[in-house]
Amino acid sequence: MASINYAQREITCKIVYYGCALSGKTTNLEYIHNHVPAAEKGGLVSLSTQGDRTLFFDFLPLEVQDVGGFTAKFQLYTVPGQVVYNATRRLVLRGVDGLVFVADSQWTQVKENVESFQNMIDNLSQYGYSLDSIPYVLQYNKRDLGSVAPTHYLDFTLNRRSRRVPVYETVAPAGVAVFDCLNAICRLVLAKLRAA
Amino acid sequence: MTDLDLQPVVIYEEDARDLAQRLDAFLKASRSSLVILIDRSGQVIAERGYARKREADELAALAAAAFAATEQVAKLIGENSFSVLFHQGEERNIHLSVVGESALMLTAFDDRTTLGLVRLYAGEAAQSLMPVVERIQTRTGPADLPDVGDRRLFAGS
Repeated sequence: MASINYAQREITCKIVYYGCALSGKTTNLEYIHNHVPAAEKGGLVSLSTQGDRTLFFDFLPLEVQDVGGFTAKFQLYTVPGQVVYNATRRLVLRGVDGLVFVADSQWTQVKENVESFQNMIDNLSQYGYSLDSIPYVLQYNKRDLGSVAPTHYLDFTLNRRSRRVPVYETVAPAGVAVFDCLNAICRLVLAKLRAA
Repeated sequence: MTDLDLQPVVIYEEDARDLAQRLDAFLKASRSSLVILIDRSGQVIAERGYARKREADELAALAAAAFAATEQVAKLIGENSFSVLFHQGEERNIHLSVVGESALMLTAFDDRTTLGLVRLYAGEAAQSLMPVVERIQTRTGPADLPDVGDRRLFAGS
């Protein structure tokens, strides 16, 4: 959950990158970590297996000075994408303020994306949360690969709720639109806090 | 746990002062080096003692996750929760305990004190912190937050 500390003039928010296995969630955080100035970031903490698959989560604290007299701190988390890790995936969602759903654009992953999106809704509901009240954006990743589904098809499968949300076509290892997506969710989260 | 869980924690000067007083008293009594009050989603509510810049953020995220995972382990063996976690190192140790339903207190200490002393005072500190934690978690809507408009907060490079 967000915290607003008027004594230290700090706003802190939790943003979770969610998606199916190997969709590029950790790659997003790695790219962000490598391309944010040292003054704006902490260390990237990865709880992963020896094979570099996320076991629990990745964690990257970011901060921006002078946001209307506040320091805005964003704590980025990923969840483990593998189906077997649902219990840990659910734990990471506790107190989430904003979500980036990272979809793998490849045709072969359409079913996995839809299942992961539904799994996100189910896990949020365990805390009484709903996508109707939490800001989120969609990221269609791996757009550089050959066998990707067109965006209108991904929209049809993932962006069909009553509230259509912003979509970013990304290539995470190259950083294409990674920061556009990050900035969008940060702005949405701050706007929601302001409107509360 | 409900949607209320998504309401922001709002900390004013008087809250920060009250928390600091209680945490400082605990640090002194228990002879610990660092104490961090953490909400269960992994965010720092207050910290006192010595920590490197941003160290508290990382400790808070990891400690909340460890506690949440252990809570699930507790449920598997028929316990509702474990109220205390203790990690023993060669030189420094970590004690993690609950403060009410929604917060945790992480204490780092070395051989200048003992686990027994930390446990004793952590229990007392939790009692004194609870009303303040409850106060900051049940406030309604924040005021005068900045409008970021279309500002690009992170430029990347």
